[in-house]
Amino acid sequence: MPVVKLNSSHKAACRSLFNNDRYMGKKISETPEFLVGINQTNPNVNTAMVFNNRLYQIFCSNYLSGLKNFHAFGYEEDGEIKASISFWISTEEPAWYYTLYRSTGDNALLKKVLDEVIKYNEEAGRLKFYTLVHRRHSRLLRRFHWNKENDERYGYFDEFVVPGKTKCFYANAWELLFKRFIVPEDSVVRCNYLKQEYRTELPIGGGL
Amino acid sequence: MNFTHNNHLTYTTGDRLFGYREEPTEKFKVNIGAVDKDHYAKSSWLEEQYRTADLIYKDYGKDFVVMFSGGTDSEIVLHAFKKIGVRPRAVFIKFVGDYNLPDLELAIQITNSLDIKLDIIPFDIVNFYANGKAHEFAAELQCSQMAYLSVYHHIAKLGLPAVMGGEMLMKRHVNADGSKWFYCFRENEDASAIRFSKKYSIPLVNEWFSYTPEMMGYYLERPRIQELITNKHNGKMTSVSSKNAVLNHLFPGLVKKIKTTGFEQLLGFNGESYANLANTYVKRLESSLDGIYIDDVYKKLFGEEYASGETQQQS
Repeated sequence: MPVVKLNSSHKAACRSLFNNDRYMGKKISETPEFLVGINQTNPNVNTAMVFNNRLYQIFCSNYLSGLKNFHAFGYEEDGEIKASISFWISTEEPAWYYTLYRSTGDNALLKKVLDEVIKYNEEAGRLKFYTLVHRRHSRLLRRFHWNKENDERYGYFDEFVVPGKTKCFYANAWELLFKRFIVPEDSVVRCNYLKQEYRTELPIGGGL
Repeated sequence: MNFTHNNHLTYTTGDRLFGYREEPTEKFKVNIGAVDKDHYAKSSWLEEQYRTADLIYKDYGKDFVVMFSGGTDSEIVLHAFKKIGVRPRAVFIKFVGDYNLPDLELAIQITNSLDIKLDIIPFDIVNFYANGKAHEFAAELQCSQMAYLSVYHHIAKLGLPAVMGGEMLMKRHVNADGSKWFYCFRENEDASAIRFSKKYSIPLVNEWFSYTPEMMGYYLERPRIQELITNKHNGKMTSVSSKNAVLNHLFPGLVKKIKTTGFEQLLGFNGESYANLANTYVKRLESSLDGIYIDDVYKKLFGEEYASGETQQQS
């Protein structure tokens, strides 16, 4: 199966996922919020590349370093990771946070990765998750990233909007979904949940 | 500075000794030293109390304060100093609103009986939170516990080396695989005392009951503690309710008291402030144990041979 759980041995194979000139739907080099701390006066500095390098370093150190709560899955082909989804597992509630998705171009591969991530979390009793979506594109996300079956099984509600150029004041969302980046346009934190009719067996939430 | 004897008790955040949290992913790790087996063979828990008082007195000199809550832990601290012939200045923080009035009455009774001077400092803890000072302090020290912040605030104002109680707390960690007891040393609370001490360059002992590895070892050997750890009593999640019985056995003559936190009337305030102050600094998002599993505590204190059960049988 080409979808694998990623670890430190996949660092190099993931590098090509971080060559995008856009982030959260905006061109990186033209978005001041993404360029904080990057030298913009030197015309030889490729600001998008610096931003991507930074994101790649965050991805490797957080999701490929064997932590307990931070994980990533990827679609592997010819030794390259063509698409990946990273996520954080909450210890405060049976939920996970969909933190970062990347692909080298074929977004259809993300559907396969998302299927595995959902399966992995459901098997561990986590039946809901949070995502960050661009407000303007919030209705389109499912069409591109979800397969038909999971689209049917999972409902969603939009929990709160974070106006553009403002800092989210909910700690988990700020750290995990925003990755401490101010986003220039309105974004929405969405809760996706497995519908009641599919919750045939509830996870165990206690022990001694 | 010595936070414990020869700083045998340490923590790291990331890999930084006595450090601050810089990233949510960083691990918090706690370590403790080994007992001196020759010393352990001839000392006792009580002797370790007096030894601790002596070590701290030699370190601090005569100008220091004991932050006295009126509780059992800090009462033992005062007794220990008295035993070695030292009368420290005891400081009680009296909350405006009389939230901890019963503790004050006990504190007066205890210090009178020990002939130790008690300084009573009135303090508006609710205003300390409302006026934003607690937020600044919380962010600076990465601590969201108002009780600790109010103590640090006063130590900083006094500018004197200080001693707090600091029980040897054990907790039970529960997850889907079952439960395990661990020696508890929390990043948010206990470790913040060290951060405070270093930042303000004021010596502070916050872990009196873990000050020497030997004291920890003797405490763990107590039958009631052994029983607590070995038998998984339903509902027993911490050593708190067993502590006073153990300490009263080890240190006869303590004033009988009802277990309180001084925050009974401030539970809502404490919960709200705890959550809000935690938003002033980097949150921990990667699981870390706030302490050391008991099996590992034994190994660190007594060596790997403890795993074979030899030391256990001796106790």
